[in-house]
Formats: sequence, C-alpha cells, structure tokens
Amino acid sequence: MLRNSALLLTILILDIIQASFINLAGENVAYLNILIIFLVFLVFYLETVPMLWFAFLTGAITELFSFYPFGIVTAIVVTSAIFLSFLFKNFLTNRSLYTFLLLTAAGTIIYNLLIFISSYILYWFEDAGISIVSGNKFWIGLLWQLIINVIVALVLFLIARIITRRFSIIKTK
Amino acid sequence: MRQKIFNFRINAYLSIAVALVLLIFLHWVGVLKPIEDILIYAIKPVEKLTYRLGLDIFVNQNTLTKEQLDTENAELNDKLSDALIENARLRSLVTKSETLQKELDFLNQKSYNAISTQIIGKPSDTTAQIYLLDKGEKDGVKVGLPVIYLDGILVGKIVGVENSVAQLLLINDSQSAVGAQIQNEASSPGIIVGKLGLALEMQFIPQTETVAKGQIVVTSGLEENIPPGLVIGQIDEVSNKTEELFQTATIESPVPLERLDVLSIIIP
Repeated sequence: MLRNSALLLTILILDIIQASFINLAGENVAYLNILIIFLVFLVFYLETVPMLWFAFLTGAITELFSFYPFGIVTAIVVTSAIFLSFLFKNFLTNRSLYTFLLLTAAGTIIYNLLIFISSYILYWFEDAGISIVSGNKFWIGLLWQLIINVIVALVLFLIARIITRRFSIIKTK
Repeated sequence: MRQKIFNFRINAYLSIAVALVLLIFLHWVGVLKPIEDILIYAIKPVEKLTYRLGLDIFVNQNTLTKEQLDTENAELNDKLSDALIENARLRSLVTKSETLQKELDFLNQKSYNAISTQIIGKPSDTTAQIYLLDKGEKDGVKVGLPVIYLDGILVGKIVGVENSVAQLLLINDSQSAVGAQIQNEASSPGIIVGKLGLALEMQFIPQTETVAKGQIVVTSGLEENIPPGLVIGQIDEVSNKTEELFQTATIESPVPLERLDVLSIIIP
C-alpha cells in the first residue's frame, strides 16, 4: 500500500516537473522526457502486471497536462511500456547499466514515434489543434531527446544503485 | 477442470485495454470530470511555483555578456529613434483616421473585459507552442479568445479549454494565423502566421501597398473575438518580389514570446 502510494505520488510530481519546469527550460534541456525514464524504472523494478497498471496510471495522469484528445497519451504510454517489457524480457539478459540505457533509448524512440504517428492520424481526422512536425525538426528533436534522456538515465541509475542494491546485475532468465 | 481461455499475461493485457476504453468512456460522459477538476485544482499552485522557479533559474542562466549588452543597447537606441519618428508621423495620421475610427467604434459596440492569467506548464507530447494557463471555462474562457501581454500586445489565442485550465497557442506557432493590418497610410491588410515557433511573418500583403521597415502591425478586428488595434509587432524586413502576387514581411514581436509569465485574456 505504501509502495503504491509512493509510486502514485512520484508520478504526479514527475508530471508537474515535466510540464512546469523541464518543458519550459531553454535550449536543449527542454528535450528531456523524465516520464520515459520513469517507465524504464517501472520495467526494471516491477513485475509485468503491476508495471502495466502503473504505466496506465502514468498515462492517465499525464492526460491532465496533454493537448491530445483524452486517451491518446495513455495508450501511447502503455504501448511503450509493453514494448519495453517485451524487449527487456526477451532480448536483454540482465539488469545492468547498459540494459537500462538501451531501454531508455528504445523507450525514447518508440514513444516519440507513437506521438508522431498519432499527430498525423489526428491531423487527417481534421483535428485543427494538432500540428504535424516537419521531418527535420522531428528527427533533430528525437536525437536531442535521445542524448539528454540517456545522460539523465545514466545519472539516475547510478544514484539508484547507490541507494538500493536492486539494480545489481541479476539474470532475468 | 475448467480450462483457462487465456493465460495470465494475456488477461493482464486485456484488463489494461478494457481499463483504457473505460477511462476514455468515463471521461467523455463526464464521470471523471470531478476527479480531474480536483486534481487540477490541487496541482495548479504547485505548477505555478514550479514554473516561477524554472523561469528564475533559466532566465538567470540566459544573462548576456557586456559586449552583447552594449550591442543590444545600441540597437535599442536606434529603434527608439525610429519609434519617435514613427510616432510623429502617426500623430499626423490621427486626424485623417478620426472619421474611420468613429466608424470602427460604431461597429465595435461590445466592450471587452480582460482577466489575468498565468502560465503553469507546457505539454510534453507536442512540439507546438502551446502553454497551459490557470484559468478555464468556469472563469469565462472560451476557445478563440485573444491573449495579451503588458499593454495590449497580442501573444496568442486560446485553442482549448477545460473547467479550470486553458491552452494558449502562441502567435509564433506554425498553426497560428491572425488577421492583421499595418499602421501605414493604406492600413494594408494581411495575415500574421507563425514560423515554427521562432518568428512571425505577415503574408498576403497586396503588391500595390507601400510597406516599410519599422511600421507597426496590429490586429485588424476582422476575426471573431479579437478586437482591432492589439499590437502584434513591428515590420523588420519586407520581401517584395514582382513575380509574386503578394508581399511578405517579417514581424518582430516587442516581447520575448518564450519567456511569458502573467498574461491577460480578453473576454468579449
């Protein structure tokens, strides 16, 4: 119960920090997406079923800060979590730093691609509020987000490793 | 012995899918609205504090060097001189436009109020220049209302409204389009469009109109809910190619659109 409440509070705080602090930062800091890194922590730390439910809650709370029609962001977050879980369980063999960084990179790519695809679909359904990102801007933004996310994930992973021993190398198969 | 139709994992995925559909359904029928309102109400003060903190930190990091300040000071002095000359010229135009102004006043019978609002966040799932404001439907905010900064400088329009928050689309976003006119002798019309969140451009200016750098651009008042005379910016550069049907002009906004804080929404 305590763990669930703590995770819920963490989701709320991270969403506030993302929307009201990080997204408004200048230059390249604004590319950081801390929610993707949080998803990777969920995949690392939790079993599949609770991980999916917390990913669902992450998406649901992020809807409050989202410009997209309700439900889109939740679907994207859950899909990203499923993809990361599949990648983690079937292709990566341990809970090492490299696995964590690889999952962060993969999560960043899949999340942004889903946003990109959703914006096109909504645009073609004539949702006048949705803008399509032009090709170069999207790829440059994705590259920057990859770099920033991986760097921050590295720092957070090392901090988590110092705080807890859960992130020591443990074979998953 | 009863056999399970699906295994445990597929059941979990199905449960998530059903929960998602239920979430969307409950949102659209309004059942989740009280919970959303409570959450937003609880979060807004924290968002405001966080935004202010971010503004202090990131604005302080963007301080200019002495050389840059000197250059900027010189440029501002030049602009001040140009503005004084323009002011003198506009004064002479006031007499000519008095009759037109009276007609416009007659057409604009409804007076408008303004409510102050503050930026509290920015969605991370879009690259559009959209910001979240702390006023919503219950404060009288509607889609399409103009948002101004300082003394009537148009910075954007409302594009989405919830009960206690609204979404502001900045004027320099590619999706933004505002009817405008230049404060020259002909009151040249045009459309102000945003350029990828970086700049403003006035398009569809007739070729026959004389347009010059430094002229002030204001809203034309032809759009619903947007009153005329709101300052948008000054012309920085004019592109006048004879092979094209219209002229275009680059507009410079007098305010830093990426560092806005307290704004006003005009309620008609």
